[in-house]
Amino acid sequence: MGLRRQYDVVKSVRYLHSSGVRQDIISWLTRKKQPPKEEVKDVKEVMNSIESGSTPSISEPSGSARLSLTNDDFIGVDVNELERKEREEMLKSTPFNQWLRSRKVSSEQELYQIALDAYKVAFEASPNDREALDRPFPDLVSKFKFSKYLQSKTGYMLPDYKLTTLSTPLKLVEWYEVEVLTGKRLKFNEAEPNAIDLSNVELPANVYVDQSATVKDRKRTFNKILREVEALESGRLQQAIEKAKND
Amino acid sequence: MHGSRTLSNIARRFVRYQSVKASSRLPNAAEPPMFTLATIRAFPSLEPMSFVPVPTSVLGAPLRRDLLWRAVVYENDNKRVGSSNPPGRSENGFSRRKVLPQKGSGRARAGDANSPTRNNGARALARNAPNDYTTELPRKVYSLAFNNALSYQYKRGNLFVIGGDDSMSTVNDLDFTKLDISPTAESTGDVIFEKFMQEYGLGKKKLLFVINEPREGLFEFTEKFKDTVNIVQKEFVDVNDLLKAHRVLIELDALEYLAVTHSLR
Repeated sequence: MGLRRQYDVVKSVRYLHSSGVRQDIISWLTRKKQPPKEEVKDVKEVMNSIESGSTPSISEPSGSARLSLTNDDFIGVDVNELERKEREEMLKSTPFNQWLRSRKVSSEQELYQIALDAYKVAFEASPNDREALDRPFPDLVSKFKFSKYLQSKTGYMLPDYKLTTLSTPLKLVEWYEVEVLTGKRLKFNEAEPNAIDLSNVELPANVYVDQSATVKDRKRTFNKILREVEALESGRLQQAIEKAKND
Repeated sequence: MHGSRTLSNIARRFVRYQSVKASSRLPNAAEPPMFTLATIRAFPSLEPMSFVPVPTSVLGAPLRRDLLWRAVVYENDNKRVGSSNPPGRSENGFSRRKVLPQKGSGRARAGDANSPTRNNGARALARNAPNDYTTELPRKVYSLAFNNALSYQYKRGNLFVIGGDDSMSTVNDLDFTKLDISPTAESTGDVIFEKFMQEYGLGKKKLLFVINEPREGLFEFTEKFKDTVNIVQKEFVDVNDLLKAHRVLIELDALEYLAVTHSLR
């Protein structure tokens, strides 16, 4: 005995066409109108119009919209990287009153030359001997002028407390000798102010190996240097090839 | 009796003689300095404009960690909202049924499950909000601690006074004599502030700006560094703010206000 005899099976019909029957197929065919064809002009006519200077402007085809592309639309371009580069460029080009010299003082001779110049600025006279630098400042104006010049040319700021307690130009210079030229200031880590430096590597003044740089930072810097070298080398190679071609 | 009086007279004279001699034995004895120098600088370049003498009681006080500790505890106590409502044993949800019989179980005596000694028990000495945790501190002690915090930052070279309207140097066109930023034709305000941070390597440092009056430009253009930059008006600065900052930039007028407010006279 079949299933059909036992149970009332609901018979479902799946229609192939779900829309109503269209009687006039012609109207459907003519719905999409063809764009009017432009008349083909004669070559002589076109040449004349160009020569006379009355060239008709090329009109954009109707219905076409120009794409407005942003950085996001380009595949393979890191938008964040682009923005970071733009920001860097802006930072570089932003004017800033740089009263501290970017090139820092690196030797005793240079420091003493700066001190002599600062003395001239402060007292409007050159010091006769070293003892002149060892005389206390007569007033605050000269102290201000001397210290400001010294700071701006050495590239390091003096703490106000030291400015108060150090009374002669020579003492200010000696502070730079001890704090800056020995590398003490560069080694100072604010997070560990009382840390003792055990390294005995002798480096020139003003040079310091930052031990606190993380492995990640070191790798990143190293890779950056490698990339730059690679770019330089490829540039030189390109130049050499072009030069050889020209020759 | 007579002899003892003579002796005490002699002793008194000797002491007086000694005190007279003591001053001659310390020929270099001098009064401690009354003032210390602070450099007035322009912002954002921090170029020195002039000096200003500040009383040593404000910027040159020796470090007193005990005072700082008391002030910090006082401030933090007073900051507590006290909104907790821990349930007491009458409010906790368990039954008042005794969890074990008094005898015979072989275990320690136990009352109900609400007992504060139990793991899921209630809180002993429970309280209801608002709970007042405020403590008191003598005003003079707080003022001493405040000046001590300022002196601590000054001695470490982390205090920068901004001002200089009547200074010895001319102010650069790119600078201000107050803690404010405004965009220029070349760049926006936030780029100028970022440049300042870059120039002085302040990227990860906590900065405290103590302003005399609201500075809209400073608020607006420090938005990117809001996690590390703290801008406080002079009336609302506290010891916690001063001690937590890596660099303190304070307007000259604000410093004058604080020096007067926390003077002990």
